[in-house]
Amino acid sequence: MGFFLPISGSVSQAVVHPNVIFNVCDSYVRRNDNVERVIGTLLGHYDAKTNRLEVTNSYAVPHNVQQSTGQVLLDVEFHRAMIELHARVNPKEIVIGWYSTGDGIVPASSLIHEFYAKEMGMNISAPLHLTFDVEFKDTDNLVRAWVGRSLDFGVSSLARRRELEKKEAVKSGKEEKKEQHQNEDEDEDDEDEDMGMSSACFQEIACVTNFELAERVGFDALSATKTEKNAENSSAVEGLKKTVEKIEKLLDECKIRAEENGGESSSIVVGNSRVGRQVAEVLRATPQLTNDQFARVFGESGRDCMMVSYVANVAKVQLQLAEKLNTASFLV
Amino acid sequence: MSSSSFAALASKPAAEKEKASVPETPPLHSVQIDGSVILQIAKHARDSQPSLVTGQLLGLDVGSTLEVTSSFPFPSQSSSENNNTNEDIQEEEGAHYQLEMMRMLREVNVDNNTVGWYQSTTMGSYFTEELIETFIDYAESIERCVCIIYDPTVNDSDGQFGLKAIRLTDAFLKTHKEVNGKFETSKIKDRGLKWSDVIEEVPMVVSNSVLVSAMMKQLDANADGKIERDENKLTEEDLNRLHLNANTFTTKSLEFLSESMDDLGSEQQKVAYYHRANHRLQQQKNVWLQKRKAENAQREKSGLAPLSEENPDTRTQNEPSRLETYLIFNQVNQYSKQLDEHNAMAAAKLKLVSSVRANEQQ
Repeated sequence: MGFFLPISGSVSQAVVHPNVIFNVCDSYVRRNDNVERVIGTLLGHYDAKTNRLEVTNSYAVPHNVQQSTGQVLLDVEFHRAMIELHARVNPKEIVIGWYSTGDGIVPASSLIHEFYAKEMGMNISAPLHLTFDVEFKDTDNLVRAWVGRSLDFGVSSLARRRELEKKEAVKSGKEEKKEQHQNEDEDEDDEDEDMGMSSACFQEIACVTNFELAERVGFDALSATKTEKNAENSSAVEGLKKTVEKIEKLLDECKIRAEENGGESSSIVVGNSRVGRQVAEVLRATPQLTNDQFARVFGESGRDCMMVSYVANVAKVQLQLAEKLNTASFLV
Repeated sequence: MSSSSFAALASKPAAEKEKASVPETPPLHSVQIDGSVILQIAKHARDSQPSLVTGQLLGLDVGSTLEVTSSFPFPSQSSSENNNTNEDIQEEEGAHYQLEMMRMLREVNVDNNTVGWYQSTTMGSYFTEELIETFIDYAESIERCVCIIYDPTVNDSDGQFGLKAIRLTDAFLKTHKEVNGKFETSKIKDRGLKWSDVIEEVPMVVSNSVLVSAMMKQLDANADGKIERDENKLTEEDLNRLHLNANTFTTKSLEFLSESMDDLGSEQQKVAYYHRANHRLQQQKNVWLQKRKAENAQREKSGLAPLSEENPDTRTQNEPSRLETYLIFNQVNQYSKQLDEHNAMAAAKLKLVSSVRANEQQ
């Protein structure tokens, strides 16, 4: 039934953005009592230049598993309504796959995968599946990305016909959730039947995390369980101090490394030319100024700074004066 | 209420607040915000730059803290304008979207209790009458609400935390109710409301679930190929802080500051004009009254019934609302604070470079 394009290696990497991680963890924390894992839809876009899938957003989709039969019931109506709502805010983000907690692929995964493949149509080659290991069984691979491919080469025409039939069935019973569920049931029943010919095969692809946004707003605040944010500890100069301290420590480390290598000739590490070139580039980028030039450029900036500070403070004092004298309502 | 000083925007004495609010609800001390909400806001704001965005905050009101645990974005105005729908339909659609979204989120066990809204801004210019109006609107339905302001420009140019939680002070809300939204000089004076009493900043606490915390630390370490997170790792935030040239920020801030000052000037001119016009009107009325009195004295002498001393001229001058002035005051204050902070930073950086150079030459 699912008709994935059988192109191998079309997506080389999945880039996971921090809000997806936050969202998944949050939905896991908020899961229902009797549920062991949560699943949801991934939104994002495909970068054709770099062959990367950028996963920028996500939302949880309620589902339940029937223990007796192993069937997975996905709330399709919820999923579709959410897509619509999301599209109104950010139409550029499209459905690119789905996530689930737990490590690795479980048998039910292929069923859900089929569903997403169908939902996505021909947008991108194959849906992406991310698994989040919330139990920390394998700390090296907490988030894993998979691309599922269908193995149903020979039966595609049959599958397509079934697809059409299904679509009609879905259309007729669109409004009612229960019927949707039934459709899902049917899907899975069919699935059981054709298991042999249309089960998706999962291939793991590289998964990297892009924490740029998280770092911009403050990584420490986002990774600690509790951070107080007030005027004292978030002042700009304090932050600068911390940054400089960090750099100093890094420089110290460099020094130690360099001395270690210089001291004992026997243990010289083979130079890494790439790092070397980068260091050289950075050094070259530093402008070479004479003392005069330096004093002029920086002196001027310094004076500008003082001037602006002065203006800002004059404005502020004006306001305070006006308040003290109770003349806020009159001409300055 | 008048005892609060001008610097006490953020740290108003608690006792004062208690007086104003209903005794059952403890005063709001802090806003506890989830890391995921910060990211959602930041993402939404950055995705649709340069247009400004708004969204809804969901969470719980627990004692003296307001927990913000989730949020969702509102569709931007511009995209719905394309449909050429009139305002009513737009509003209806917006309300529908909001309800639908909240229903959806409730299904996945997200707190669906509105606690306020967020909006993005540039250069810290957010003191507008719309903000006050929205606050008043919200205050009608929920007792305590906050607005979270996200300012990506401050964030990027200084590597500062660009979020801020603000709310209207109880004193302001009370006054607003009493004067019925008409802020006239005499009324404000009687109640001792100062411009610094309009909006207060609420301290913010960022919290994350233990799971997220563990996940982030581990993933970050994995990205570097290490077992544990390196405390000294330089982040994007650090790099932002080290940008030496942030003159555009200063220029823009100064521009905005002088614009606000101009606004303030014209606002005060309006008031001055009102006073002059009012004075003239009063004089005219007095002249009329005097004339009528003299006339009545004449009539009395000649035995006629006196004419009414009621002036048929019922013209009055409408006093301009003082709220606008107050907001501009706040805005100017914000700009100058921002400039001051930014400059302190710039000066520190210049000093840093100078001393690095001096070190080098030794």
